[in-house]
Amino acid sequence: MRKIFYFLLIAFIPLLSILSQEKTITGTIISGEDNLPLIGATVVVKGTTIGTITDFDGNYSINVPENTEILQFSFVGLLTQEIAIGDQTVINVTLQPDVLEMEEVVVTAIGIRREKKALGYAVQDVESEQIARSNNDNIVNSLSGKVAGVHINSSSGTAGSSTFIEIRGASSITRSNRPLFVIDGIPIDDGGGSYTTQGVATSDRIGDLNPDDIENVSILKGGAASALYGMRAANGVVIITTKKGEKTKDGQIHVNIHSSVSFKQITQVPELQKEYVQGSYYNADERLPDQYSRIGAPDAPYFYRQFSWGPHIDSLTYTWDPEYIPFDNTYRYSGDYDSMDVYMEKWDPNGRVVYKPEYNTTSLNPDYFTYNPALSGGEIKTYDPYDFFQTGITLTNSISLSAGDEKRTYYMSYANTTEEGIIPNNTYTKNNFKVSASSEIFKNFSSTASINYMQNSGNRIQQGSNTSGLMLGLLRTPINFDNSFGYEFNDGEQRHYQGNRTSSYDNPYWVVNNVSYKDNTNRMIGNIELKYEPVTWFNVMYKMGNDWYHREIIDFFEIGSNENPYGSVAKAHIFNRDLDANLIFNFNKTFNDVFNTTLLIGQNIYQTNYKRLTGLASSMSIRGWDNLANSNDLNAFEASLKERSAAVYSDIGLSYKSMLYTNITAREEWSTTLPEGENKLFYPSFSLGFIFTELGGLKDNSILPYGKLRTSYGITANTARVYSTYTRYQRAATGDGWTNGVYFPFKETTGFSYDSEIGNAILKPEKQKTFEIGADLRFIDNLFRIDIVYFKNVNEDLLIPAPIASSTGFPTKYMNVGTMETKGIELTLGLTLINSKIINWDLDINFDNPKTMVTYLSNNNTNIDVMAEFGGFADPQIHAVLNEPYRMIWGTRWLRDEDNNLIINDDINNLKIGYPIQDVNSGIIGNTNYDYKMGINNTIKIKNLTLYALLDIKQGGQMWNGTKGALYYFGIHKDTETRNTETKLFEGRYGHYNEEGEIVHFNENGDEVSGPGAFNQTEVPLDEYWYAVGPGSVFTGPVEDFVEDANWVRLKEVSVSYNFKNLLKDKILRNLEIYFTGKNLFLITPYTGVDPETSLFGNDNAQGIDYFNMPGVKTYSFGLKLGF
Amino acid sequence: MKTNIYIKTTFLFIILSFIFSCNKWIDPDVNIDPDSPEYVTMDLLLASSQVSLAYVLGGIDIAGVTSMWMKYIEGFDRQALQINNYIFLEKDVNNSWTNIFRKLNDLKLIIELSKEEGKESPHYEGIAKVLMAYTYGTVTQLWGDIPFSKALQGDAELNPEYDSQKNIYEGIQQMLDEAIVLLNIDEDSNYYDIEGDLIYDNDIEKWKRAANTLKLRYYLHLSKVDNSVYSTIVDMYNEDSLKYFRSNDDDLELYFGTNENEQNPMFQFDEDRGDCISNPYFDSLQAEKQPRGISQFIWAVYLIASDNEPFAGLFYGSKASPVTFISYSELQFIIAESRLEAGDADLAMYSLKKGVRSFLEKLTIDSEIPIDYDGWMTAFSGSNNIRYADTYEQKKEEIMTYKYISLFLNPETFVDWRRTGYPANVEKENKILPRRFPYSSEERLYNKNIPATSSIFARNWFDPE
Repeated sequence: MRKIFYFLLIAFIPLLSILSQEKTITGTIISGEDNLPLIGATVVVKGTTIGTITDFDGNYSINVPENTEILQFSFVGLLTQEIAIGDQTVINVTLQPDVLEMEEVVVTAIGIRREKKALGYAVQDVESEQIARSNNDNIVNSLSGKVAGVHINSSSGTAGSSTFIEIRGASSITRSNRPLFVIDGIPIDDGGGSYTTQGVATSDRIGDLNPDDIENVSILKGGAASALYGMRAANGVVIITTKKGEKTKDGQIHVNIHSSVSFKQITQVPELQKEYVQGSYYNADERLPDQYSRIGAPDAPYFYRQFSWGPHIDSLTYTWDPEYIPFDNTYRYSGDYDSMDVYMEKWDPNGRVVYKPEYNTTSLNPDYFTYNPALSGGEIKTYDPYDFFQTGITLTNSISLSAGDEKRTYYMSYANTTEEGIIPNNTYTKNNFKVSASSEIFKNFSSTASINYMQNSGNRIQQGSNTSGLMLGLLRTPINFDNSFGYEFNDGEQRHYQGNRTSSYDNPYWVVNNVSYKDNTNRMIGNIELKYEPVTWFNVMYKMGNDWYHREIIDFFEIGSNENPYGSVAKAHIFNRDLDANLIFNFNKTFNDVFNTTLLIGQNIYQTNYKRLTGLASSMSIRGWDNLANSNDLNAFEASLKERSAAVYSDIGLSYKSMLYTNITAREEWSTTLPEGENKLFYPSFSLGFIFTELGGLKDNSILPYGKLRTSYGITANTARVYSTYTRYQRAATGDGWTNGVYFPFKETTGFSYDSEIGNAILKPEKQKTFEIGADLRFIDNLFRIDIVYFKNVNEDLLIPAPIASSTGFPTKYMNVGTMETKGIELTLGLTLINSKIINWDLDINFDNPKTMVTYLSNNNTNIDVMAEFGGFADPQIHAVLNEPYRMIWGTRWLRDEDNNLIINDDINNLKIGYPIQDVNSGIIGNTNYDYKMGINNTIKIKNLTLYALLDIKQGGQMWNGTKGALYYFGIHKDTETRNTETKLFEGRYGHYNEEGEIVHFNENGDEVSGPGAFNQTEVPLDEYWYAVGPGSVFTGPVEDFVEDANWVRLKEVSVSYNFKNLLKDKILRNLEIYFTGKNLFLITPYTGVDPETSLFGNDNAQGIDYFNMPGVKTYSFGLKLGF
Repeated sequence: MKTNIYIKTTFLFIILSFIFSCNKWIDPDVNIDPDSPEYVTMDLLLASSQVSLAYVLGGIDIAGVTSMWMKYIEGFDRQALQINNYIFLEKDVNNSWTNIFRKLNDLKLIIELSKEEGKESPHYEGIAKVLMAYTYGTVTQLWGDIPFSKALQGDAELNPEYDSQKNIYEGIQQMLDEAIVLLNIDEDSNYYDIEGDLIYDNDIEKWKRAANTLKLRYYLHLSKVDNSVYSTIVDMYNEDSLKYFRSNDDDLELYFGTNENEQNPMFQFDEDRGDCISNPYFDSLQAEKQPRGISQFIWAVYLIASDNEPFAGLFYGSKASPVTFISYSELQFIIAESRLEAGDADLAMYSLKKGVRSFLEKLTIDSEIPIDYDGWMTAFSGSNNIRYADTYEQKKEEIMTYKYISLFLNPETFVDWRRTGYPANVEKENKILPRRFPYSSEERLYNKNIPATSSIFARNWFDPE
């Protein structure tokens, strides 16, 4: 404390300036990196504030006092040189690259630029070059593997889908765990991109940005780093700095062009069986073996049509015999076509699937014997559903212009991305205009303004648990049905493998042509900054940003879709406006070249205002017309949300030499979503950085030239959800989990009901306390670099709509209910393997292992569905469970005894003997969290050739493969191919539930005895009974068996680029670079579904669910960069 | 210098304006949801609770499950197949449990609003109590002990105690008595007229009849534990039969609509999932041992009227089909059974015929098929068709079988089966039929007072061995 006082005292002692005679020194400063002149390098008389900067040719001229001894020459990223003047009047200097990069400047909270060495917390950067090379539509994907402690999961391979991002684990149970995105000092809106169990993959708003506009992305991970942002920063902050105009020679215009083309292909997909055709052995009424019902076909009793439990393909052939009627046509749901001839042609161009004559003898049905060889259609064909996918193509073009002189600079850019996805008609286009300009209006008074207009639109395809879902219909199709033969008849009727029955699944070709989800987003982000800097040690700044967007959505289902048989169109208009304004006073003073003090005082106001209007037309009249007038069944909905906050904050920084740095921040904030009178919050933070290699004995040693220890502590918070302080009413609606349900107005009557949630007038915000300690060490000429951080976040008073007993009248109450703790280590290792004039090979490894534990849950809550607010599956769900890691998979499971033995059925009245029994209670069945994640970045530079490879390793973390569980039921999954041969002895003990719900078994006399019995000896077949009648699938049994490990090792990114810069003699062309980038070129994973980098719910909290998710992609990109 | 002053003044202005506007900026009114009305009226709550209760109790979660067990329908696919095979878990009732108590909560709000000082509206209170009694009656017959006296207290009681089923039945009778008193209060003393009544179109007389009829049903539920309820029912009915339902027009039922958001729950389930079919029911009607005339007749009506609708025929399975809580024909079957048990077999058969006839009339009311009711009824009462009229047991079976046919999809049949063993042919070979619903797994997680057992094979209080 006394020390601080001492620092403060010194800060207020004015400096004496030294006045005396002067002389002039001139010269040129060039860079040792490329021998080109340095523009804007600094020349300072050591120990004074006298200085100048070089011009466009690297020349300088400085008047120095007669007694000046030493001049300092410096430039960001290069080593500072000190030269004794002596009698010289011309001093030419070559500045060499600073291998230690100790002067590296990073952008921290509120847009404050700080030297990296001055920070007491971890900040990691990704530069524009790396972002451009990754060539992703969504910049968040370009951060993957490049920053320790940042978890990124692209949700699907479809065009324009969203990306999950989380920094240092989760901090909130049900609220968003996405970081705050700040562009040029102004937070922007980052909504969108979370999906439900069915629907489409939409974009998140961060994906609106043009990656080529980005200069730098800096990630503030801990609370001390982001405390100045207060309420919205509890999940970390991603600070994006965009490109600005730079001073150019004679105000010349610099033009940069970047063009690329990318090709996308699907990666791994679930394996399907290729031997058994449509049909079932089981009878619909009793589900008993029934030879009669074996072959499914579109006119078969509908129940059999959905399955692939039919005969082996070798026993079948095609026929054109119109007499062949394999089924009892009196069945209620048989086809209603005029003639079988037309019918057969309609459904299969090859004819009807029938048994070959030699197999007929085994049949019980006399009709099978009518086969006529003269009318044979030939050998039966099989179809590969994955032929459906195509090679996606993305074209990206961007151009930017920039120029500037002493007084003003400007930057303009335009970018266009056009993508046709791996799914036909899945498109995404994006246009981006940006203009930014800065100028000195008056002396010491400057302004910067930018406007970024973004437009993007797409057509998205239905996915997930949805009868119009693409993968659902595609993968369930039996091998003998060719979806591509035609998806629609002349009369408009859909052709799909289950025939004309409703509530089956759409033909995927029909879906992409008749079901569409078109959205169009128009967005404008405008920033203005006014800065007045009367003296070098003080400035005042006013910064305001306005982020406005409008989205239009047209969600259309053609008449005849299985999801909406009568057709429907929903049109939504969404308006959102975010306003953020800051007034900042900045003081910065250095004393005696030893003490530096900074002081920042700021004020902030923020508002977000969201409105959504939706019109829904059901039961359409005219085919193909997506207009609300096309229906007599219209409903309208509105939703709105408004929230404000205001804050004052300050940041005091003190440093001693280049050795000791401290920072104290404080923010006081008021939020409208908190109860009146209790809406004020205070967030302090403290950080300390100590560069111990500046100490006398350690200074300039060659083994450890740079070593820094740092620690910090900070508090941030999440505010309450809007409108949660009181119990609301809602427009009445009821459903049952299977159907769409009913809602009001009902038969021209309005109806309201209580909301499902009890409001709470004594809410507190969620509070996060974060601590971190770390070291930054660089060994032997910076050849080996290590940055290690240990952190611990404690998130208290977590707010959720806490489930309570429904018998209270309300299923939830919004309240502060829990605590979560995240701990982990982040390690960044850098190794320069080769460092010569010709070849340079850097290896950078990012490692992290955050573990978030649920340490406290109050009020009977031991178990919370993280999707409760948004609706997920009934089984399984992603839960927060007391004393377990966050995001456990919770679902139905097998019954086990106390010793964890499966209970194997011994009761013939229940199930067949020898199969395991299902537990009546659900429990934890998997853990979605990874143990550790590692990104291994290799950069090899051979002169102008750069090779880059990013190997991404994820260890641990499970995923629920619901796709597999459903394909088991239908008999189409590869594992079901052994249906006639494979038997299994389920290890476990005999038993069953008695009437009281206890585990009992039968003894030799057939009496029920408490507890489990002997070990199972009954080998059972894994056949249709097991998968589709017994508990062997997700529909008929527990979901537990479909939890799979989702570890991976993948070649996330590999690129080759060549820069012709040095070869360019022509001064007009400044820059020319060509590159190739490949992504996900190989993937090794035990997961048997699609690429496990997937999420049914998009960027939402509930990660780890795969239910007919769209496949992932690998990408090949070719790019060209030009600079004039 | 001048510009300097100008700039400084501007800044000062900006700073001051922010400091002074801060209080207004954080305005508590910002946190008022524009999509939630400030208050709701009783008519809005009445309409919504009627529709929601019909949807939940008449939908797949409740009526669908009992209908699978009672073989009205067969679940043959996916989760429905599970339920059909008597695998019915705690998680499977989360939806219905939650929905039911939320709607009870809305009814409770109506009762509270109806007692507002100066705006007392006893008729609203009475209607809410009738609906509440009906809902609790359905819940307790399925689950046994449930939260009743301590339920619906919001966060004042987060762990509502479970009342014994015995007390709940007493509570239901009391609730209905109170409702009858309230509904009998002179209309002029109602501050608000009844509106939003989608069941009886604001007809108080019908609500009174419904309350009285429900009383008989809930006495009948107790027949296995108290044999005297039969004579109680007969006495009550004989005392003033006009207090009860007088015709099909009095049925306590809600008709759904044709718009996408108004459709009957069973229709929607069939449209969206199609995992159930009603074959077993038709099969049972056709079966040889059923009384011939009537079964053939109903079979024909169902099939012709169904127009290839996949599920249960047009009457029960169309978009606008009603969900019936309790009907005039059910009343007649209640009386028939009670009269038989109370020793008056002749009058019992008279009530049975009234029940059958009223059911036929209702079933064919929208049908274009001309029905000769009198012809059918004559044939029905003719000696050839009364097959089991000889013994008490045959009469009992006949009454219960017709009741079963007439109460298609109605959960009430599940009570009848547990009480009387009829319908007799619903049990599967080698499989034990469940006797109750399991508690909700969510309720288990969040209510400390939930009873330990959840076995669907355990017996409720009113259903002893």
